[in-house]
Amino acid sequence: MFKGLAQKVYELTGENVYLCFQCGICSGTCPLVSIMDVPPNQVVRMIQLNMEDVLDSNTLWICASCYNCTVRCPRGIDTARVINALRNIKMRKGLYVVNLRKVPEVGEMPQIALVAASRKLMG
Amino acid sequence: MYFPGCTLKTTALNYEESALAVARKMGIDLIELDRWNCCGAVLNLAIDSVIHHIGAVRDLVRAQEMGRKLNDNRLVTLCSMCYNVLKRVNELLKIDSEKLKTINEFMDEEENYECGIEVLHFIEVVRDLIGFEKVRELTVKPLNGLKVAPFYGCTLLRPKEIGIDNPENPTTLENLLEAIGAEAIKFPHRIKCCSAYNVVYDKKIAVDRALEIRKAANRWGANVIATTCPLCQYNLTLPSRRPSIPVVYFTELMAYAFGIENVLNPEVRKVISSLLGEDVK
Amino acid sequence: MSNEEKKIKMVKIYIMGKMYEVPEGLTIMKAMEYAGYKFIRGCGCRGGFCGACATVYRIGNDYKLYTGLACQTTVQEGMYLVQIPFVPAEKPKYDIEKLRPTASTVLSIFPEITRCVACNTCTKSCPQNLEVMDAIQSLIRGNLIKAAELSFDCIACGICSIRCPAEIVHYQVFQLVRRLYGKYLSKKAKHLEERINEILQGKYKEELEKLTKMSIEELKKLYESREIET
Repeated sequence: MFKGLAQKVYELTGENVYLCFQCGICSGTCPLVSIMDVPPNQVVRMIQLNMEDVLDSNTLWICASCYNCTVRCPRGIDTARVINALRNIKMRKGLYVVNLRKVPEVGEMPQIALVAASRKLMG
Repeated sequence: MYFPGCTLKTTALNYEESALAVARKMGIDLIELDRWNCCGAVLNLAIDSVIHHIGAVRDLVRAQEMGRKLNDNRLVTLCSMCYNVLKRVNELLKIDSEKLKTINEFMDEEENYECGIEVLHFIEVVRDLIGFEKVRELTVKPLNGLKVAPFYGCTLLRPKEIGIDNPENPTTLENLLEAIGAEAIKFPHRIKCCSAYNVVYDKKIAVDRALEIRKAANRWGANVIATTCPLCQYNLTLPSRRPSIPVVYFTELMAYAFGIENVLNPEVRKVISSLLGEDVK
Repeated sequence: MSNEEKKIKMVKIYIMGKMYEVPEGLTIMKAMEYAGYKFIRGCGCRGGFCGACATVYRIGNDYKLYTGLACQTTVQEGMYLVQIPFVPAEKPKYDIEKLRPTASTVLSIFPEITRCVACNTCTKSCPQNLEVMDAIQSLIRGNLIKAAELSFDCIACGICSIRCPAEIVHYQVFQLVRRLYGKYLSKKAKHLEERINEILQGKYKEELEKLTKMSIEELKKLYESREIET
């Protein structure tokens, strides 16, 4: 039923990205959208259009999975999960966004920051 | 039964100490889980992912074992991120029996998890089991004059299925603060995200977010921010340009109000007493 | 064959895929030498203490992977063997004199510990039956002493590290843990300090010099007439 990226996202999440009608609420409510190069609603659009460049955006790594977008989506799409799926596609190929040995002040950070970073930013 | 989470035993020890003392005052005995391991801090959202859930399930199995001996199936956490992961894994395994089977088979050295544990956050225990009336009764030093901006952070309220309150307009912390005599400032950033683990990747992102949240709290008239999660605490206290507004854990405020402020970290105690206009001991 | 010689039972084992028949009751190491292999690497004390002869094997139709030390494990029918003579590991440089003995220190030198998913594969593969995962988790929990206690018998064979999905090198971490514990936290042995002082003050110098000057015959005589406790 789906093609390309939308199919992969469906397999990883069970979400149908074609439900999105681009209202933009997700991007409006995202706390980190100002630093993202591709806001969440455009990410979903790019998946719909099978544009694989979306995998190179920095949005995937900045998203903190705070779930603001999911809670407010009028069509019930779990946007945080969709972005996480793109992240997983890249991580499963062995991409390491952060090198833990090079993080400054790593001894003072609360462990959950490091553990969360290990899960979200490393393959 | 009580699950601390890795951070509470190290960088956030004051959160644990104040919470355990407050719990004792309210008549709850929090017994630490035996041999627990790190829950994983964030949930991997891909539906076919199994290995990332194993840490959390192992903790639920420990709770199951200990729960049998204590005849109690409730697991309380203090860290909002741990609450989020444990609760979501629990709910996930209740509906996905395939995944439960796979995980049980992989963990062949542990007993099978039977989905009988109930995961609670400490605030839920205060609100539902104890009730704010009792909190009001136990308050010997109402925090009059303290204008507290409650900061929920994201993992406590979202996703809706496991949130402890309405994700758009929560009232739990406000009611709690009023019960201990403080004034709750409902500022709009209270449900925003502190940017969590981005601090590892690019510290500037976290500093910018913290600045915005603290400026908003100041603008709305608050003189202290109360948090529920050690990561929010760390992120909101990162050094930045504006003079800092103090950030404390809500249990530390409760401890002060209950008159057991001797369990608090001396710096925190000083901050709270000076804000109340009392003599600094 | 004389009537007293018993017939020796042979078992089939597979070394790197090739079948060999070896006598039952031999250790893997001896069995491989019986089959004609010569160990120039991956062999050390032959006593289960140095961790050089790590072996990974399967048995017959069982899908499970087993691990063990070649010098300690006896052969079984249908064993499929492979030796792991060396496990790649790297260790960042640290100066033990400048470190504080806390779990946070270990975490800041080896932050990849936080990648542990608690899968317990390390514990299952340890030939010494140590609780490897619990030791690593103790560090994440901030308990250095527990980690030192649990990892005490580690022989650094490396099997846990090669199977770890989070790419943690457990034995390097444990070495740091035990060094910190031994240097800063554990009680000092008083009699050791006294003996070292005596040596530095030259109490045994004369005896040692006498021994070094003796001839081989005199040394042999001394050795054979020494007191033996029975």
